[in-house]
Amino acid sequence: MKKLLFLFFLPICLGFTKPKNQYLTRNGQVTFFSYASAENIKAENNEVLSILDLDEEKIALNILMRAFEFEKSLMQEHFNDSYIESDIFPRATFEGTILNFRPRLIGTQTKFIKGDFTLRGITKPLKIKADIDYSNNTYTITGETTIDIKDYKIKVPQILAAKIAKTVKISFNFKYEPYEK
Amino acid sequence: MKSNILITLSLLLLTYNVAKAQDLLDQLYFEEKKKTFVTEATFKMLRIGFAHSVETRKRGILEVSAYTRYWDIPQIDGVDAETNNFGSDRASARFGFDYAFTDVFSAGFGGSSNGVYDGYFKHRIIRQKTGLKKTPLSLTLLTAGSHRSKNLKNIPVNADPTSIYDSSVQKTSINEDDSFSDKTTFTAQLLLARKLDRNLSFQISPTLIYRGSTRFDADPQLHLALGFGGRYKMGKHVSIASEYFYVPKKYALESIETFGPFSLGVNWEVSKVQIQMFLTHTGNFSEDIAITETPVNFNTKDGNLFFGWNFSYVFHLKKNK
Repeated sequence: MKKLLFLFFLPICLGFTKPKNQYLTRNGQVTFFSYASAENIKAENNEVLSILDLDEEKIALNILMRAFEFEKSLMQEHFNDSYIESDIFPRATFEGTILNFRPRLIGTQTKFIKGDFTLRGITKPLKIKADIDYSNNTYTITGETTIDIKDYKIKVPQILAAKIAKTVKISFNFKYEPYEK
Repeated sequence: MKSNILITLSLLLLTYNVAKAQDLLDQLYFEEKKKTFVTEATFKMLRIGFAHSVETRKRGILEVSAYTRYWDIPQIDGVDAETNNFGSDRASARFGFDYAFTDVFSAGFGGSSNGVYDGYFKHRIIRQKTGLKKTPLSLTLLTAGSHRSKNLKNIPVNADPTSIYDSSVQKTSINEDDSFSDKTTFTAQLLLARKLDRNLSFQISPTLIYRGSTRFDADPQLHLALGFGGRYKMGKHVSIASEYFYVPKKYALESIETFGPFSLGVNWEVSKVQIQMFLTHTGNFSEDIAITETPVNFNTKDGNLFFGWNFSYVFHLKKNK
């Protein structure tokens, strides 16, 4: 019986003592640009949550839509109210696997991250090229990607359609620290 | 006893494994900090129709506006007036500027075709908020003043009641030589609004109007009124809005019969342009005249039905950061 008990305890003890190889950022930066003939649209979010899991070689993002700040405040209101509808879809998320990832490699490595991006409740596969830098026990991941606004059913009124770009360039910069619960 | 321990342990193990199996997105979800958000777009425009909404613009925004009203000449003594225009025999207009000094304080100024100049200060005292610190409603204080550079006309018996809006009709005012203060009126409004859900908003506006002088002794100098407004969002860029002001008999003009003003219309906004189209029965723009001096009731008779068209365009004079 005692052996049996021990068998139960073993994985639990091991699980608790083994450090979770996870890194977290609460101030991730996501910026998007849309170049348009009428005027450029630019917004920045400095409160993006992201986690990097070294064991699973995975990365996940949680982007609060209402935290995007625009140069022009009326644009921000329209973004939340008429385009993104952030009261119904408060956050955009991404979860992906880093392909051919070499954890704990000091220096910079350029890798593809393949995963699913969810915006306005619509999930589409997305492959992003990113630079992953590891030094002083912190990870920095930077990169950019482009999304098609039609994929996420963001409707632009006919009158503006000609003036607004069909794609949006998204760039990001995350600085991860070791994650302790 | 021992089997009990075993069951407990296996349960523990199970929960532990479940906890470990949670995916990264769930983990991030638990890391989210609760925040407070100001409720935006209770009403999207500065006006519901002719009267103010609880909204102000954000800091550094200049809104330039043109408000116009069109209507027909009414029948006089049962005889149709000579009319050539469809619904627009007569017109009135107000051109104005609204500037937001901060997110909670803005001011505006405008001049109307009937010689009335008006200005206002709008101060957002309470803002509706969701999230960590909830606030159920918005409260905005409006203080406004208007000055009549031309005297509004008296309405002759059996004549066109809407002629008071028309500067081409001969002046018959009794206040031709009044002093500046006599021709000035002050308005204070408490605008209370709540966005009930993402589409529906309501507003109640207790209103106090004080006029420097009256045209007839019987008329009160102090008016009280209660305004009701609503907005329903139909689509991403379109909403319908309506408003009505109740003016108790005691605080209404006695020299002429007046009606509480009403409007019903459609708001459309995209990018920097905002357009409001509505039906109403007042052709005036400043609060005091629209609320207390509307001489016709709301119906489809010529001279009673006014088509309102508010157009405004926004300039961002100060950009964030």
